[in-house]
Amino acid sequence: MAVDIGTGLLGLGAGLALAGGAIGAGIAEQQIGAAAVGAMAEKEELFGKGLILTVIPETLVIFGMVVAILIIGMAGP
Amino acid sequence: MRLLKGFSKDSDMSGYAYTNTRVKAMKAKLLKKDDYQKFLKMSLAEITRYLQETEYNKEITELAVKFSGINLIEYGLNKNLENTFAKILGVALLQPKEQIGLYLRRYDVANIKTILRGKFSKASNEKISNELIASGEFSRVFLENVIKEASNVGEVIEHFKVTEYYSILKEFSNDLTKLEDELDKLYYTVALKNAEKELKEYIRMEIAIKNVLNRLRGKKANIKVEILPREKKINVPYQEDSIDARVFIKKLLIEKALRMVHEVKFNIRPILGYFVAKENEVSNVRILTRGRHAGLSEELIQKQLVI
Repeated sequence: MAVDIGTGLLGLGAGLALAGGAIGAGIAEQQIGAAAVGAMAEKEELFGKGLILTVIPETLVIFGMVVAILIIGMAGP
Repeated sequence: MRLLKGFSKDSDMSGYAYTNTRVKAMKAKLLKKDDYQKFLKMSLAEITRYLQETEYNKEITELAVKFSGINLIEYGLNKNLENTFAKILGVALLQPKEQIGLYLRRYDVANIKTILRGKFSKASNEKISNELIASGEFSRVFLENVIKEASNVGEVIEHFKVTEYYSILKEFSNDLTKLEDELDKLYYTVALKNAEKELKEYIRMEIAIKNVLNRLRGKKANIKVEILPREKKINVPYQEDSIDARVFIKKLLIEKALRMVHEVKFNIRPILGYFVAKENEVSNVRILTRGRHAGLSEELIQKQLVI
């Protein structure tokens, strides 16, 4: 399946959008996760709160994915 | 840039994130102002019972088999401090561990001093051993061995032959006061040389506070005092030594420490803040119980508390 250069670049852009979001989320979760485990170790009841706070940066990946889908949409059917 | 620094070798962000949060949770378990007010109205036995409902439970219950009254509380506090430091050092990861170790070396110096003083005043081995806070590099086993095997100051010094303190111990073995000053200086010099920026800043503040206290005391007793090196400038509105002056100066450090615990930073400051707050708590409980034991009035005890 041959695609023109424009479509190829759009695909690359979509990939970058998702990758950026994922890397950002990873960096954020690294520290939040460490802190959440620290808090849980002292007080077990904080498990629920810690879990929610840890996954909040996942929204970044969702944003990245939405942008990626929009970009792919630009490439046409 | 800060984000990128997180990946470099000199910074350990998740290590600090973990340790600092644990320390913050531990800070929440410290005694509150109200607790001290309650203590003022209690007898020693009641204070002991109250402490058993707090973080001191384990140590007090363990020691209650052997001791009672003021000694039980005193030794319980020492042991709890030791266990708390050991716990934090145990849970600290990578870089925080190094810096905490550097801070805790002060207890090596304190323990050497305790053993020397104990042997000098011919205190019993058990008493010396209970006064130790073995949180530094010297293990409790090593220190207790020194206490058991050495019978005088000279023999104690020989036991520290392989340590970096030996040359000072040997040189000033005839003058214990000078010896203690020199040990302090060595600790501060080594700590300042190897500490991170934040620890360095705190140590310089601590040196300043010690110097101000010593100057005031020296002025009152009319003697020239040894000044520790590389202090940070602080202003104190007191010219003479008094309880108020001492509490005011110590409060400067405690207030700074309490602010430090609540900072959201990936460095040693929150941990340091907790250490200072914990040491202060132990010192406050000690002032309280000693005061109650000696029959001092409530006002006089309250005046001396640093809260």
